Amino acid sequence: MKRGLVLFDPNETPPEEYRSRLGRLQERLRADGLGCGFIYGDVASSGDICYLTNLTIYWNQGVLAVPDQGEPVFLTKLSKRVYPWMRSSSVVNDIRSNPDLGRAIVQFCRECLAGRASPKVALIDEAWWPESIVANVRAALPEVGFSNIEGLVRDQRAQPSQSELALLGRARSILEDAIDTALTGNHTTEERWAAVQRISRRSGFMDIFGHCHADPEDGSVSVEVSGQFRHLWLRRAKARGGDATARLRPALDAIAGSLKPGATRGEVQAAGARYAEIAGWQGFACDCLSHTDIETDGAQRPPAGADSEPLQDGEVVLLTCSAPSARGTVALGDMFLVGEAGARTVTKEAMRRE
Amino acid sequence: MNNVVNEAAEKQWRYARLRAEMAKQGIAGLLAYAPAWRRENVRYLTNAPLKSKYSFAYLPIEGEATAFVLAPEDHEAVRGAGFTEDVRPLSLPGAGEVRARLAEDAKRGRIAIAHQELLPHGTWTALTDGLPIDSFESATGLMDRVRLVKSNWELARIRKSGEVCDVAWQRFLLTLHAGVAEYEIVAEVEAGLAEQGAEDNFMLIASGGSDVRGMTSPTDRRLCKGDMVRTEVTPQMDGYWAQICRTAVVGPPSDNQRKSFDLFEEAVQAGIDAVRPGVTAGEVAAAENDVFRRYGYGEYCTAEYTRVRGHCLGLHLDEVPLLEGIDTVLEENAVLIVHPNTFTPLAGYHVLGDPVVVTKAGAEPLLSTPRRLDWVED
Repeated sequence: MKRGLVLFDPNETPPEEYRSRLGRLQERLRADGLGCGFIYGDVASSGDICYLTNLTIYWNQGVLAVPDQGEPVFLTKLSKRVYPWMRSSSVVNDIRSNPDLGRAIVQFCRECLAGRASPKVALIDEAWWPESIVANVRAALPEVGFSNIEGLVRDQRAQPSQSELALLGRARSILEDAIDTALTGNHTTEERWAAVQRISRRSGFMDIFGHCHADPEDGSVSVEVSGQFRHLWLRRAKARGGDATARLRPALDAIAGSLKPGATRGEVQAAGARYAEIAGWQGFACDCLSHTDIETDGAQRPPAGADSEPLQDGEVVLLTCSAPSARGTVALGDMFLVGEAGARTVTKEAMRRE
Repeated sequence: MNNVVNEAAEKQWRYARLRAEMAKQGIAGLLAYAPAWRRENVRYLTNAPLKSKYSFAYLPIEGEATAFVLAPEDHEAVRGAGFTEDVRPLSLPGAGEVRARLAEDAKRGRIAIAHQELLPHGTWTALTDGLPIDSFESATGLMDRVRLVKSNWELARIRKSGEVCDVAWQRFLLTLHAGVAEYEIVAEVEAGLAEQGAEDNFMLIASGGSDVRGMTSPTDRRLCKGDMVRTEVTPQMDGYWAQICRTAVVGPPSDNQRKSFDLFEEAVQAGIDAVRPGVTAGEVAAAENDVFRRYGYGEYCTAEYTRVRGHCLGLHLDEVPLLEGIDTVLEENAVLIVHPNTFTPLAGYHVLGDPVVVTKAGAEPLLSTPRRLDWVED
């Protein structure tokens, strides 16, 4: 579960920005003749819902119902006792509990679509919805048309706003501090990971995953952290010591040079392969992931064809390079903002200038 | 009673129990699906701590089990765990690798899927394409029943989690003082758990007065003198979860806070006293609720104020619920936490609970932390 700080701060993200995010989604729904869009989330995958509303599904499952006009509604399995907390930490006021989310969606559809001829709705990213909900909803609403729209919110998130870039810069700075502390000195991996947890969570991270690894054979120590800061996900991986670490640093910098608007993810990976070939490096790998896919570790990334989708100006991506060490793998990873003038590391200072 | 002491024997014990259930129901193969937040069944079949955000494990009625994982490092994790060598990659949502494995066995009989209810639509569509859909059924209940009774190997791990609960509570108390924020308390407890090598944690918290109705993720609220600070901490050690529920006060407790504690302590003890092999989950809940009813607080045992009166624990942190009417029998070696957490007008939401093992002699406690209303200097 998510057990870090859940904060709704209008100074960080103004309420009008949330209205704008929801508004863009509603425009698309209206353009497609859809009366409502539904977005599924659970504790392991709820970035779209959090982006639109700041709602945190700290445990279990929920569905955000976004009508083509008006306010969104959150359908949840969580108890009414947490409504005050959910309302105080999000832009959502209308929250409805039901142990059967399918039934809750059906009830909402009947309410929202009443009187419409040829009603249509979208279960956004339907492939990732539990089949049990999809089947029950479709069976209960034979009169409603269902449209499947993949990546509607995810695509909107790919290019962060100024306020989001500021948050990303702050978050990266926190992870930098946490990881550098963990890498310092002679400690057990448990003590290093404790430092990461303490520093990250005290600084406001909501969720933290990752690991520390020490390789006694080559003396390398590596730390990889993925974390959620407000609705944004980042990953940072650093290491010290060992031959692989020394080689990975310039590799990451060099391959980051291929992160340009119009370049495809496949081309970035090919740049990594060329680098490794020139360096005579066996077992080297590199990957490029949208920041929106860090939460699911790329598991919900669009199918293989999307490796030919070009990077957009203003997109934020994670670039990771890894290589074998004496007894395992060492990885370096960092967050980059793709731009015409070249990719820039998402530092606090750089994001302030955006 | 199972006296396994190593992984090979543990695997044999688990698979024999599962296959006995499968044979009873005519199931040719059992497929466990694990999204990141519900990994317990894949873990049960593979004994492996996984990083993959999605994974599967397949146990045929005869033959070797197969794991399907996304993260490359999970291949080594599964092989190293000692239950199966057959680890295959996974591509989603289609899960073609899983489908290929199922296609053969679906000819022989029904396939049961644990957490079928969570299986993604895209995966379900691809898995069942060309295979008879009436060949598939849910195995979630089957897995819940089998996992309910723990082996000695499992109990050893749960006892370790219980010890870590004790450490977590001490760290919690050390962090409490007026002015500290809820999320800062959680950060310190998380660091303490990391030092113990915990894989994960489930932790809720709520601070404030008698207006508090429930716990949530931490906020930026800072503690004040007189606050009750409620928490449940649920560390996961080597796959197994234990839980401690406690409430502390910033400054000396008020009379009502003490009365609230006395009520909850009597209810917890009544629940624990009811524990014996053959008792039902509902009977344990009733024993707790009877205490509330006796003192005129029966209304606060309803769904408006409380979720459950405890629950079982194991590879999942929230197994069989303790609620009146639930007739699940708690056999010897089941593990549960008795926690009548609820709101009363005495002092608001109060949490208190201890995990125990069901033994022939009654409840074996898993904590050494005494049940008392701790308070800290403000």
